[in-house]
Amino acid sequence: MEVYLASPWIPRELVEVHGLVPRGLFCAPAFGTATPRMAEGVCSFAQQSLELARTHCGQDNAVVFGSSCDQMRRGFDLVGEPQKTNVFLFNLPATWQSDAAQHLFRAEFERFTRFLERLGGRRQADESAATIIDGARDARAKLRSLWNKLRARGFAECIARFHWDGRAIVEPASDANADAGVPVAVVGGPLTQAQLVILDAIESAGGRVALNATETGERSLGLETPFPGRAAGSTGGLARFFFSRIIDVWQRPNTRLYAWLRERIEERNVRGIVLWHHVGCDLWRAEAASLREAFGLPILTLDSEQAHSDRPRLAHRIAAFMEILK
Amino acid sequence: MKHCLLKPLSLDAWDDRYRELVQSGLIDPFYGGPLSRHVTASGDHRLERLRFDSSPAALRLWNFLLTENERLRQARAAGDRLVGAMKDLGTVPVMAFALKGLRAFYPDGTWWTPCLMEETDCLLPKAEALGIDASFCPVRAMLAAFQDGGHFPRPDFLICSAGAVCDDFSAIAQRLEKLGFPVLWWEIPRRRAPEPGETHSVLPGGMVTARELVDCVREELARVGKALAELAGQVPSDAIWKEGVQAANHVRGLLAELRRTVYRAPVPPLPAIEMLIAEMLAIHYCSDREETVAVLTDLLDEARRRLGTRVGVVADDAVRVFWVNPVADLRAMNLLEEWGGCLCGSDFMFTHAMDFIPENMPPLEALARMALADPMVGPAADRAARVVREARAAKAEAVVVARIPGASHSATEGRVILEAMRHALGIPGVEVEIAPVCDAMQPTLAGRLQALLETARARRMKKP
Repeated sequence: MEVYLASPWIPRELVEVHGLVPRGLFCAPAFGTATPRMAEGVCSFAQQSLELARTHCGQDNAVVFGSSCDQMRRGFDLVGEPQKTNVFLFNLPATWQSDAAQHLFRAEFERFTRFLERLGGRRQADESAATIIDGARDARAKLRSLWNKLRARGFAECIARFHWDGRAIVEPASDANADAGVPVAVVGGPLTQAQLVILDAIESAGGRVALNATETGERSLGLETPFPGRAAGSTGGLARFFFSRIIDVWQRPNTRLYAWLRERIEERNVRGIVLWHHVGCDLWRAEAASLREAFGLPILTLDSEQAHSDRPRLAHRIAAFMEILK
Repeated sequence: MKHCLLKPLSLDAWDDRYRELVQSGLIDPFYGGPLSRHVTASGDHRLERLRFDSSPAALRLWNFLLTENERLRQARAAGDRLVGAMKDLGTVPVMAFALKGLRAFYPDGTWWTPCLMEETDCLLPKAEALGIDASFCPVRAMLAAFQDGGHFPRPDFLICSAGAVCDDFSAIAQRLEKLGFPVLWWEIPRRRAPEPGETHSVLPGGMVTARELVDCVREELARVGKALAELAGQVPSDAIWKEGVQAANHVRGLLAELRRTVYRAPVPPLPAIEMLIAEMLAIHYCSDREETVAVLTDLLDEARRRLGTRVGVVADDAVRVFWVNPVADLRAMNLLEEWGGCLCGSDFMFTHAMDFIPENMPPLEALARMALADPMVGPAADRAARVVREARAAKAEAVVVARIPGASHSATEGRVILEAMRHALGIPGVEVEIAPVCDAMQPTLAGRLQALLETARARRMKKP
């Protein structure tokens, strides 16, 4: 059975440990290709997740939503009765500095385990489980190291492939020129396969994506954590391992995101930020001013509606932004 | 026998009435005075377009509401520490008011300032300049108010719930922190039903949730309590929180009785707009717990007196409407009555602040359960179920869901609630978006609300 995960912060390794197939819903090839029927104020990503979830549930697969935003929580409510369908809402705590948040994540981790068992999953022996977790950790580390070795689309596709099937396959030849183009960071929500044209447009306009900090980019690989899978054999240890790697805008405070960004923006000499958000996503849209203040860099805000319906204008805006940065 | 119809007063008419009352011996509270002074002194121009109940109890209520910022400044000058509670709408103030020398208020309440000042305050454009534009809920006004410091006094301590909260609010509060206002965040997890075999807890209002969520919130409230006690220079204890719970329940008891008296009456003895404001007192006592008791007691006495003498504020055939969500423009509540409706029940997003907090368990446990009963923390279906239950008891003939412009929950919840109402009660409903100053959209609003009221009336005729 395939288990579709709507957030990169839901531990895919745990699904695999239970003998089921984890898939990043946000990396589904169909994601972002159709024009969703949108009600006013609905986040386009949440709406598309909801529609894909209905499709997958209808095919006897399972779908796991994350509680990290109001729109996804409410999207989950619309899929159906949790007890009668293969849908699950993983309660991701917004706070992260308190014991209560740690306890909550651990409790959700255990509840998720029970859900996987209800789906027919069986936890593998500790040794096999540790191999899976260590393997995923190594794959993430390998992918992280590729940020300057591939072109933006290639890097994003590698990460998407990892979220889709767990593999970290990289073409042997490097195709990126680390010195070419104006280094920019793309920061924001999920960038689906159909929306990778934005990365192409940046490069075509003379930019270089030095940091893909979208929810499906380098950031989705999470923080490097000191806990190896083998050492994190206990449930509590594993829960800490998965909880501690989350870096996202919805965390309160979201200082962890800013610290992660700062390290890379400075290290990679980023000269401008492209803020990417889905229409209706308040959490990312609200960050534009804070990002500008925090990093003192020019910001270009792009949304999913422009990417879908007005590509010439999108390309012009990106080109103009690159001109300014040059 | 028909009810005697008591007409509402304009602001000018209230000034005349005020003089009469003073001449006949009205004893004003310390924040009393003629209502029109709020226009001249504070720029609350919207009052000139509102219609008010004519009772001294209503006068006291309005003066109490409109002097909150002034009273907060006086409290600070007298040595009180001010706590800005954000988003939880009813939990943190119960704890803050239990500590001597602390006073809590919701900066969120600033969302009504653009309405009251008819946007002459420019808070919304200022919020836009701070990065939060018109696609966000009007609560963004809070951001600008913090920055300019000209509305409420800057709190000594800010506390905000995070987790299962509106995205727009969470984003605005995070922006606030980035602007240099430190926030203590506490987790309110999304409420869910317990799974088979899972330990559960019953919440105020009758919902049931997984035990582990209550444990999480209780632990968080203990952390909040510790910080509050530190601010007050006291040692937190169950005895302190228990006093807070008992005092909250006293207020909630009065409010419950007021709602029963007004909403169950064949013809409401108090208008919708005053009921909306009275209900709001539950969330943080409008910064004065003792005075809230006095204000509610006056309103309840007035409602009972009118009920006894068959005095109502709408026509006998007014359509009984259940209202969901607060309105960004208070004028909308007047319009409902002007167009032939009346309020028979409400869910203004803080029903948990009106439920009794259990007193037969440790106070933080009780407060955790209350916080988790927040209608915005769980599925819209839970909220819809309560709306259905209360609308049925109130014999509602129609339901209105007010969309809050830009609010993340408004995108989907209205449909869920209206469908539940149609399915369970078969009554008509409508969803309307109400801007902070709704004059420009009044024709549209009239079209939708009047059509709803006509539909509800037509259903009366069809009934055997």
